[in-house]
Amino acid sequence: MAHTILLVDDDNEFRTVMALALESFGYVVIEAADGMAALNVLQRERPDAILSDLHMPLMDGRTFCKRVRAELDLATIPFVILSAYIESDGSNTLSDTPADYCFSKQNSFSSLLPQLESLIVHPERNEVVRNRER
Amino acid sequence: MNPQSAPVKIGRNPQLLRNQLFISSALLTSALLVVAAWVINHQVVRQARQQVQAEVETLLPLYDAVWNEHARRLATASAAMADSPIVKTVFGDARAARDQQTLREMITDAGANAVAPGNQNGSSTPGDLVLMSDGAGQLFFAEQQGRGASETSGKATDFSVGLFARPLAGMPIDLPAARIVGESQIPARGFTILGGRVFQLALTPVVLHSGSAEFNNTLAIIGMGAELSRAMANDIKQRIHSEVVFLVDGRAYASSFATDAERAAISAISANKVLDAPAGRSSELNLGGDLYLAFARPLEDFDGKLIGQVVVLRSLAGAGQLFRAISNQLLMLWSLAIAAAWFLSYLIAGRITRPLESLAASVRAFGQAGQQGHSSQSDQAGQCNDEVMTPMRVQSEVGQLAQAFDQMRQSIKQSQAALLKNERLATIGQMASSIIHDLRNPLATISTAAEVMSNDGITFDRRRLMIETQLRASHRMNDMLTEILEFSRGSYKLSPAPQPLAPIIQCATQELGAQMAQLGIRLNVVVPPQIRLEADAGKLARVFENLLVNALQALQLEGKHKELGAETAGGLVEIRAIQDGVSVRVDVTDNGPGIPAAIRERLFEPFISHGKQGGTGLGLAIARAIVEAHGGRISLNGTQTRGARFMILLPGGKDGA
Repeated sequence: MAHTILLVDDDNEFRTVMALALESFGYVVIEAADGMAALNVLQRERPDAILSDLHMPLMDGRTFCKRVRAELDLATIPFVILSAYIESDGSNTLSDTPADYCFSKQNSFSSLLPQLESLIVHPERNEVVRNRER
Repeated sequence: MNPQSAPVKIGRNPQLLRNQLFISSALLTSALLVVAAWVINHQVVRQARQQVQAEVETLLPLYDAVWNEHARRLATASAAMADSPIVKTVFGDARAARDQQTLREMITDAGANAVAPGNQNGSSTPGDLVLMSDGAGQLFFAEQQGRGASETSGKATDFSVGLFARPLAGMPIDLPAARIVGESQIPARGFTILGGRVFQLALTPVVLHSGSAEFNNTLAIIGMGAELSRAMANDIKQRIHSEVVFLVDGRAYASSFATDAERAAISAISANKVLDAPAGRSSELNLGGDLYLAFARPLEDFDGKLIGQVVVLRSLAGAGQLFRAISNQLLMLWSLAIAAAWFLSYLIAGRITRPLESLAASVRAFGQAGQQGHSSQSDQAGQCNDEVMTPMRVQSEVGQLAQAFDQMRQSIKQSQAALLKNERLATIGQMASSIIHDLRNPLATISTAAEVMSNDGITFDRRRLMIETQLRASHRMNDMLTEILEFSRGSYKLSPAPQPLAPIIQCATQELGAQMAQLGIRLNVVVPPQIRLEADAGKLARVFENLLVNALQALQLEGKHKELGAETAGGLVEIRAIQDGVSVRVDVTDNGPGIPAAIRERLFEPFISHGKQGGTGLGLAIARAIVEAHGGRISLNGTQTRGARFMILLPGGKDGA
């Protein structure tokens, strides 16, 4: 069964391309333009993972992530932040975000995919990753 | 703030200070000099007065010496006559001794022998009275002669008045003093009154020596006298350089004064009680404006009885001249000193205030340079600062102050430059960061698409959509880069031409209008065709494009917010232009979510963005720059929470109607 991913980004082109790419690898993608819209989606959908941009109007990725973590039934959804503001070498990984993984838009799509996959398939590893990052 | 007012005030203050310093120090020194001059003058005049007083007191012995000399001369003359053999022969003959004619001849002969050489009056006798009495004091001869020509208009004969030729009432036949001399056979001197006249008299006995020392026969007494006349007073006056008044019974007998002055002198003498003053003490008299110091000496007869007084008056006119000379010299010195004090005060005031003036000038120039530095850049300001560097005298306190100020100015200049540099670096950093991150989004789009498309198992439709997206992303990158380039150039060179507004707006809405129509956004354009203005069509179109892009993005955002892919229907963008007097006003309105209050203030600054959807944050900054280059103004109108209304005011064309 195909995993569902909620893709949140205010950049039309990037979102389109990312959605197409994920769909090419068999994911079902729900799109949202910012955190607020994404929270609306989450009221009726429960994706297997959330891929969110950081800088967005109305509600940015950081706030959105905290809101998700605050909801009991959503808190365990793997959350990946995908931003142009994160350097590709991970030098400015956002430690204050309760996200499972921070990914730079400069990194290749092929390096994102295995991380995403493992977060979805082995949700118990999430904690490990989270602890290690702390 | 008027930049002209402050420097004028700064420039005037040192002038005021100089005047105050000058006037106060000049007045102070003048006052000190006046007081000093008064004290000195007072002291000097007092000293001089004391000196004159002391000098007058030395007159006393001089006066006595003059009297003594007179008396000695009379005595010498009478003694010479008494010793003459002719006289002794005549007096030896009782008949001849009573014959007036014989006696006159005898006086002439004996007097010629007896006259001492150097008798200043050149007369035959030193006196003007010749007396002869027998040993019992009975006068048998008395004759007064002229004393010479000096004070009697050269008429010696007028003065030759025989006592018996003009008999005087109360003329004594008996002269007690002569009897005493005849008995004692010792010469005597004294003052005496004969026939109402006062004489200084010397009596000498004519002695016939008997051969025995115990007993000698007195043949007669010869008296030589001089009247205390005006002539004598004048003689004494010449000798002691003082006026002389003879007083008998408190009335003037004779004096060296003229008649009127004599009367004044007598009354002054009695008024000042000169006669009652203790011996040796002088009194000050004022005779018709002239000051005199006066002292009195007694005139005593042979018995030591007071018969009158002599008052000697020393004029202070010479001393007064001395006082005046001293005062004049002091006045001159005093004036010179005051002039010097004023001059020095002026110099000192100038020396104090000149560095202050240059300091003020330096401050003023620094302030002006600072203002220029704000409008232009710091390089120019630096130049101005260096120009106003004034060489100051470092030794003085004010000079040190100026130096300290200059150091402070330098450090302010440096920190100002450092601040500007930091600010610029921060702006560049902000700009670079913003641009780089903005460019990364389309770049990531392109690279991700390319990476995925290299995968074989991708459907054609997806591939096509990806390529289209890729293309859009690269166009967007290009637009952003162009925008940055334009903005970084700073100035917008316009090629304005008079033209109607409507075609410009039509050009701006052409591309975006179609896009809006697709999204169901209504675009309402109301531009009267008669509105004309002087504008660069291409640049001005860019302004409206940017505003429309913002409106479109805001509406799209709201649409997506409702739900992704939901309708943007109901969205409305309106462009409405009106002729507003000489200017043209264009309102661009949308009914989107509006501008958050937080960024309204800085909305037109670069990199301030609300939508942040792949923009550089330069759109409104560019719009403002273009509008301002046209001499217009752009502003966000209203504070409503919903929708945004931008107002653009542009100067209208000459044929605006």
